[in-house]
Amino acid sequence: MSATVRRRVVLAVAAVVLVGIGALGGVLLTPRSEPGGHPVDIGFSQDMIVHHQQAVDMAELLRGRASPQISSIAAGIAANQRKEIGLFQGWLSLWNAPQVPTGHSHGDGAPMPGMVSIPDLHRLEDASGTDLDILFLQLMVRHHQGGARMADAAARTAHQQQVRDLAKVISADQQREIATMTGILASLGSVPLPAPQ
Amino acid sequence: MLAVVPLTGLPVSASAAGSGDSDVARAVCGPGSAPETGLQGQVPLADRRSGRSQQGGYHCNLDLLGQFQGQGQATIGASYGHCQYLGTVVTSTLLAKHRGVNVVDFSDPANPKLTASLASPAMLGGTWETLKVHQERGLLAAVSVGAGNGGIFFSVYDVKTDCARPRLLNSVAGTDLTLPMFIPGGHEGGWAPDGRTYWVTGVVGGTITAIDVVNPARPRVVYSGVVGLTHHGFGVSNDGNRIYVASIAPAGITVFDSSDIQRRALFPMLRQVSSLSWTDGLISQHVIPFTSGGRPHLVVEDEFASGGVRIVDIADERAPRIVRRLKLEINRPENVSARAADTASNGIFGYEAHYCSLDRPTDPTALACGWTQSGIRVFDVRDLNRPKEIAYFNPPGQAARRGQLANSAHVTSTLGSPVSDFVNGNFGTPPYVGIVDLTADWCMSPPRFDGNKLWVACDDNGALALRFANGAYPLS
Repeated sequence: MSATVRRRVVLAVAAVVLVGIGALGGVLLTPRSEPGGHPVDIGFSQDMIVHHQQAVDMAELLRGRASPQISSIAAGIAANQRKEIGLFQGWLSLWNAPQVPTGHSHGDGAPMPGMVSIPDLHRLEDASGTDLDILFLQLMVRHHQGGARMADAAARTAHQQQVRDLAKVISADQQREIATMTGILASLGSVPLPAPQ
Repeated sequence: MLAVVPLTGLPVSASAAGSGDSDVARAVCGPGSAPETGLQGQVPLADRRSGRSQQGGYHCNLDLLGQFQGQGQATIGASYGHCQYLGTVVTSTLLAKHRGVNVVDFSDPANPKLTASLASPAMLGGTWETLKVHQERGLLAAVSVGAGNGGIFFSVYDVKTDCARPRLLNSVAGTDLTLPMFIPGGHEGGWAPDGRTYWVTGVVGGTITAIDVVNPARPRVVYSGVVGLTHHGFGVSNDGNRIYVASIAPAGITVFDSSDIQRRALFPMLRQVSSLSWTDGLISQHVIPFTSGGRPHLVVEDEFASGGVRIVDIADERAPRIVRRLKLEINRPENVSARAADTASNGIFGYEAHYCSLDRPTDPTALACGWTQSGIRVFDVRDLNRPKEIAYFNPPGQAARRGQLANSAHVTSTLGSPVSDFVNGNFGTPPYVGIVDLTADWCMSPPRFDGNKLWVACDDNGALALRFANGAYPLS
């Protein structure tokens, strides 16, 4: 690589980074608004960030390793849930509320329905081939069942209309994805895990 | 180090805020010193123009024992025993002669030698603020950060056996390769005090990850989540049950309960305990927990807006309280125009605090900081309410050596103006875009206390071994 080309690469990389982070900085530096937000809306948003992020993480764990069909489903889930995480983060920021739940640990049980344990995430990390596809679908169906249940509750009880509306969208999306993933599991000769308690 | 370009206005107030005086008495420089010629922390424009700032630099009660400049250093380096490890900038993978983390053996301090270059993927990928040693376990680790917020590879090296020849512990079949790991975003990394966990934070998206390193041959992610809009470095409490995360904007910290991760819960979560923010700074860098007289405290640096260093009392962790700020004279509001003139074309970081260290975590006596263009600054902090400077070492500018500094983050900076001070109206008139002038170095790495020595690294001067003089340290 010539010195000129190298320098152009360096400049291009630096420009992309600086502009990207700069845009973020500009957004973050806006003045803070007055506190607000109903406890139910805040709690749902905080919990859903945690729940959604795990789905994003699981989808990312598949990157480059799962079959094209499963990778496509995972990419769709990750894109959708990242967008929704952004909405929740924006609301919490407007409400001046913490981005994560407060309070104390709830022991060793799952803090929200459908959450995947660390050992199961390690199994997903270690799996390959059809085993990887099946385990992902099983864990994600159960995760979605929990997420849809949380969203159903928020669709009924959230204080703000926008929160209730998003909760309905989440529930509908996840129910649709559960149906798709369950169908693929059947085609692979497998079945979903028991639904979360 | 985080670069932010002001694209959408400058709405943050830069007015002084927070309790406590921020002034710190100047060091009394003994024989053999070459004191600063301007304000405390300043490399004056006159010295930059005359060439004075490139001839020997400025030092006070700290002498140079040895130096290995090599290809320069990127942001954060690390050290263990008599060895130093120089951080990498991702572009040096293409441009450096010795690619990867350069290992420098200072067993003969006057003649330090390059003994190895660590070329596993994490070390080649730009280490930013992740290259850290756990001193008790003798483990060196880093994450590949790439252009600023990456995280695919993680490396752990044994440096206890032979610090000059680190051994990659999580390699694939004895090669320099490591398996990719799921680290969603990485910019800053560091060890929990017990050395069982290595934490990674990303600056975009508020990501945070905990890696179990109980078995360094098989590190595993035991937590990942999103806990903020965006955050920066951190510090972990001695018992591992709290992580204190620095906030980018507004400047400040958030306290999280990390006990789930510490006890390796099956379904771990971080829960927020409290937060604290301030307006006379920006982009808080990282956090150092310590106790003084039995009361828990934090050191927090800001890398933007001349925010300097803050001491925070967390005896009531639900209501953290600033007890003291430390700023150099050049950081004071009335000196913005001097800062603007001095640093107009020497890159995005001006006279900013960046990474500090304490001489001990319990009742510390001294605090040493990499203060970017102000060099290395050392403070007596025995009385937290009345800190005073006891020594400094600001190495000379390295414009003449530009060609060999392929691994200096400073040299590879493509913006000349001091973006770090933009909220104070200091970003050049007009902003300078072009080759940085290198009239002063960037010292951004945490110094390490070692008896009467101080191990430090600066971007352009590389690895340095310093020795306190004139009885400045140790302090009784």
